[in-house]
Amino acid sequence: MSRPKSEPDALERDLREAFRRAELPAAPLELRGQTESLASTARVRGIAGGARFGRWPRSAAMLGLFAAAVAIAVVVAGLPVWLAQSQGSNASPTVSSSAPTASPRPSPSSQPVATSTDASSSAPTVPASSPSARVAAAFRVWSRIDMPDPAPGVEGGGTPTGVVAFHGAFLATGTIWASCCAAGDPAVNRGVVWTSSDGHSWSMNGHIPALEHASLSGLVTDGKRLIAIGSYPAPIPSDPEATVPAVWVSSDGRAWTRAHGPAPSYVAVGSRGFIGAVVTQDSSSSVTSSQFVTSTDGLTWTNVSATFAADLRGLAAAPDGTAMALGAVPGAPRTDKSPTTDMVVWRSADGTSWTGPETIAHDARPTAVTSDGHSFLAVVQLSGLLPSGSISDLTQVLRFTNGNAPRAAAIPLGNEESLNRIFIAGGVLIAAGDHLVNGIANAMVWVSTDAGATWGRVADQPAFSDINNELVGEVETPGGLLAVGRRWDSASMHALPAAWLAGR
Amino acid sequence: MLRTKSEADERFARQVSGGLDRAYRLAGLIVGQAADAEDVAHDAAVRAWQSAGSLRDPAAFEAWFDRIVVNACRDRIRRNRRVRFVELPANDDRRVADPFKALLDRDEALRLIRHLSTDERAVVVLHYWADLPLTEVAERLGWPVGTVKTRLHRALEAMRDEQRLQVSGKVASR
Repeated sequence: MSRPKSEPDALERDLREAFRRAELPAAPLELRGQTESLASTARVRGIAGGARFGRWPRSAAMLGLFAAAVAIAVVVAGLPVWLAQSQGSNASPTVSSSAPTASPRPSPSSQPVATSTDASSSAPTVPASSPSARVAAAFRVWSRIDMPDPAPGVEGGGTPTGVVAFHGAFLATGTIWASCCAAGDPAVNRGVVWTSSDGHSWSMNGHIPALEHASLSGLVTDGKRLIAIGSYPAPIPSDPEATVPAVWVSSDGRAWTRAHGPAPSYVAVGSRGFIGAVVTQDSSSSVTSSQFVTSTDGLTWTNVSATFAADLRGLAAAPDGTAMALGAVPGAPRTDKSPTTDMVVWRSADGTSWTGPETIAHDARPTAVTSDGHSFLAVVQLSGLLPSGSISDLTQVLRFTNGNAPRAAAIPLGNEESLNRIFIAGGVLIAAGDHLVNGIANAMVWVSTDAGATWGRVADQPAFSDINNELVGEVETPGGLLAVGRRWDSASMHALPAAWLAGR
Repeated sequence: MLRTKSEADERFARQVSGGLDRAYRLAGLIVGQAADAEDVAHDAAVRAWQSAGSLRDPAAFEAWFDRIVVNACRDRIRRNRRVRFVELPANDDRRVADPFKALLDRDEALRLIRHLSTDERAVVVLHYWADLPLTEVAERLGWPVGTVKTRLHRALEAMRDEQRLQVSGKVASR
């Protein structure tokens, strides 16, 4: 006799009834159109599909934070650039007629009218189209090296997110992104360390006790110790997926210690220790607050500023001890009442005393910052509302020197291209991001050999074959650079760790 | 010029298109908001096209596509942890009600789902919304049936705990 099936309790009955009553929406028409177009593109053109790990989330675009990243079909000449402190832009070396661009642009008569009061006089003009300018003058050839996979069979994969030169070798850290619980999947994320003496041959340590539960997103070193930046599960029983920023410190890459107390989300190496920024987001109000901190050992962090409301997007320090942080704050709405953010920066002469926020540009979203030893360079995406109601974008590199107002250089991105990293190798500036092909993201690299004045795009690389390649960490090498990140194996639908080498 | 699609491609296209509403709804109930659900459904469709060759039995399309959707939900939620989003101001008149958020806010039983982990939500939604027996839930999630049972049990316990907390909170506030 079979045992009688247990009766559903009140909660189960309520759930079934609630789901039965629920009037759920059908797929939106836009989604349906995009999806049906896959039938004629993904297969016919032989473009491998897969998750669009690198693309801007539609949700973010809809919410306005990254609105510019997804909506624009043209890059517009003369897009008003609303540099609020724009005296320096008149002297911009980068907006001359020799600066490159590749996208078709409307005639000047169709240029939008600036909505900001201080816009027009300082708005740099964007140069005429020049497809050849997209050819990069350096780092033209990239080769890929496959790194040991710490998570074969794990849906989320295990890939590096940072790399440094350390004690005569290269060391990369990353994360196994647990999807839980397909065959082989771990239940939680954990940190992984890869090491290589030459960038070609890598070994891996995927079982470091201190990195259990760690989600690592970056890595820095002062030459003596390593600081891995990431997050750790928050002790909030009601929200099992909540995480808090965390850092782990190591002197050899094998033994790691997690710092206790509030940890920074951004860390840079200053002249007198580590400089950090703690970023917190109130889950109820969605307000993001930040605070500058410093540390000599990475384990103990000291507040050096008050908490301020801003969403930091980057932090960099120069060898002379100066530092810059950039962020975004709510800006004035556009004329169609859509929300915007303003780009702001904070500057410091020593990493402990900060001034700011200094508004740099309206309707702007900074994405990355670095130092070349003389200046700080920031990547920013500026937007403008066209009379047609569309929003048009312009990506710029802003150069900040000696506390002056920035000089702006346009990067002539094409449609559906975006940049989210900037770094320097051998005096050459490199900006990395992704471009979409039939809605699928792949890695893209731009190079400037004249200190950011003009930029050229590195031709699509065989080393970035397939899709979803993503460069997330870089380090200079004697011959050029080493980048680490992820590649996608379409056969197994699995993210794999990879390194790329490129020579000057 | 586009190549003529094969009959199999045509059939597969019809299956993806036909499964899109279900994918969007399943994603919306797991990730909890329409914008993310759109992203997930799109990603799942791309993945489906990419791995169409792995679908040996066209009759098994629904289970196969469900599994892709659930995995895309996991990716989306993981990515959301790495990317902070900013909400539109509440007074923005362009803001439209999110049907999934509204549903999960409105219904007392469904509100409890928000306190579950991604995997627990997936189990609950597949079992109670899609009305699938646990063996089929297990097939879609790639887990042993025992794991599904354990997770469902934990999910229901967590929801009951939350329910009790809410009731005691209401009583206390009177």
